[in-house]
Amino acid sequence: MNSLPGDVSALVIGYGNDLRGDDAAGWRAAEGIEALHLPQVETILSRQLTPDLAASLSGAPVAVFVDACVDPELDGVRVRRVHPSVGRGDSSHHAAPEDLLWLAAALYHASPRVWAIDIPASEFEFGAGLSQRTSAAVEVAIARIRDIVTRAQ
Amino acid sequence: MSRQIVIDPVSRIEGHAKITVHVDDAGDVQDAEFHVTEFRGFEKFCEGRPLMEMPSLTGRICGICPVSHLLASAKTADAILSVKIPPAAEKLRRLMNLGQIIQSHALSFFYLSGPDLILGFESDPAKRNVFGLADANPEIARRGIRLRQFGQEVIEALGGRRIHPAWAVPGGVRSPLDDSKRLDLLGRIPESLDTARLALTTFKRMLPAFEEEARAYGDFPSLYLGLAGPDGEWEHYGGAIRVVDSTGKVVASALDPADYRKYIGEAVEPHSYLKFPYYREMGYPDGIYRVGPLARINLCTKIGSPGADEELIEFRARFGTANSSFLYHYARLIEILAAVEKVQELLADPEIGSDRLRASAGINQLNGVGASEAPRGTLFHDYTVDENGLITKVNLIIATGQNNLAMNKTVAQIARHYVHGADVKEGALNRLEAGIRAFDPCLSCSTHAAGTMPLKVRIVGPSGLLRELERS
Repeated sequence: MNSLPGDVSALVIGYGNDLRGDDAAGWRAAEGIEALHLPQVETILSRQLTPDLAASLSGAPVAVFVDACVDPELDGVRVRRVHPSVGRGDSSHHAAPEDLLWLAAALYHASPRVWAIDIPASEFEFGAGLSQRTSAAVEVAIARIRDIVTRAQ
Repeated sequence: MSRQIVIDPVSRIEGHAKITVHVDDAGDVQDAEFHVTEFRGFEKFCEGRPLMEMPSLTGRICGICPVSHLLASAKTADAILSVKIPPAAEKLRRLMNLGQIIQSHALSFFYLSGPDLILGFESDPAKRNVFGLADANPEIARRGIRLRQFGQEVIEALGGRRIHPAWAVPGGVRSPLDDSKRLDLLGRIPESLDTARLALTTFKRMLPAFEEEARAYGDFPSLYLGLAGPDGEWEHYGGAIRVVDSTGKVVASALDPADYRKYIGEAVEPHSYLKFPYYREMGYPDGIYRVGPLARINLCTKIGSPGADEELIEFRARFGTANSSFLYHYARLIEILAAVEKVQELLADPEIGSDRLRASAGINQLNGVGASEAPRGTLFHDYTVDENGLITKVNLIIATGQNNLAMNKTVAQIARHYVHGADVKEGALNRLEAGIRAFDPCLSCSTHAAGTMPLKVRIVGPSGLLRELERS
């Protein structure tokens, strides 16, 4: 649910299109975290990042965004800190984690510590399945996310 | 020699499109076109799939309005099974559709069009977005987010997830509404009603400043088409097709959605992947009609919930049958209020807790049509199956597609009003986009026909046309 329970210690948001091959990486990673049933950790699966997620973000002290990433120089899972910045808002499809963090501060005076996990991806054909490389990277991402959220508890 | 002004992509809409404005040497607009540049192909690649998969499959046409397709598809399958679904199942499907209307309309008003309306069409483009709105008026932004969340929570409470809930199925629905969730949702009603009323008050206060826009943004006569109840009351899930003209006169009523081909024709144009539906009796393009909030508000006799009916009376007193596409915004806000009031009513209905939720049957018809009102307008799904229940043919008439002629006309009207001479200001370009945004189109939904459109490919070099290829 968008309205988080009151005692959430960490929020994991996996986003992308689960019918476009490797674009499902964010979902698969978030589902992997969900399956661990970590206490006080909530997950959200979303097709895209929309402004209403700022409200969810404001309810957790720690958040992790996870998504597929097309970057030829990305050699493995990348973990990076996210800092607030104002987006262009040209499309409800293209908000970035930085935009939502900015909105969380502007609207809810919330400043969670936020990370983004970029999972290397290259195959985006119609279909529900990850490439071998991305599938392996999802397992790594799940482990990295677990580290972040368990440290938050 | 003519000049083209191209806006590509159009911003703050769902999906991808471009606008081309043709101007002559004097800078006068000759014509304008709205091009849809997406191609999706669902009508083709669903062939061969089992009927039972169709609600889930077609729900994936769109990530913003999947519920609309889910419900229209389930209704189509109901028709092929020849079942009347249990009353509780219909009420739950209606509840989900109302949640969809709330979340979609809230997104349209607060995130997509709100920046223009509240910050101004000529305001700094760098800030004329949801972030600028949040900065300038955080309270409105917060309220808008909460209202959209409420609609999504209705959907999630029923279907288990906010997007692509695999819950409406042929014959009914998969699961009941948990009573604790029902009470949670009821608890959110007062705030949601308050926000809906705030949005209406805010818009009505701003409206006098938009007289020019109301005249220039698609103000032309057309038919209005949508579902309505037996006495013409506002409908969003059931009922029959009703058509009124630009004066409000009823052109047709109680039309069976299953007979849509008798009264809706579809044309194609080379400049767009979107089909051009029209009302057959009046031919193409004279049979131009609009669907969606403005159409539903124009064609209904009443809404059937107290606050929304009051607003409808005020709207009618002010505009009669409203023909300006700018007033889609106003109609959308009335519908949000209607939807929240009707959610409240359904959540208090004791039948909503029933566990009799599904009728079972085999394939009893080889063709079925299901129609429902998506937030953007009437949606038709038409499936033909074989004896084994495998899809052999699909036709989808999407809400946004039915507004295609009107969107083109709107773009041309705005262009003629705001584009003059060689110096085209940024505000004018934004207004062209804003004209499209008034319709709140979902272009991701609208582009599916495969191999049926005439295509013209023009290869143009610096010295002019090099080669022209055409597929008819």
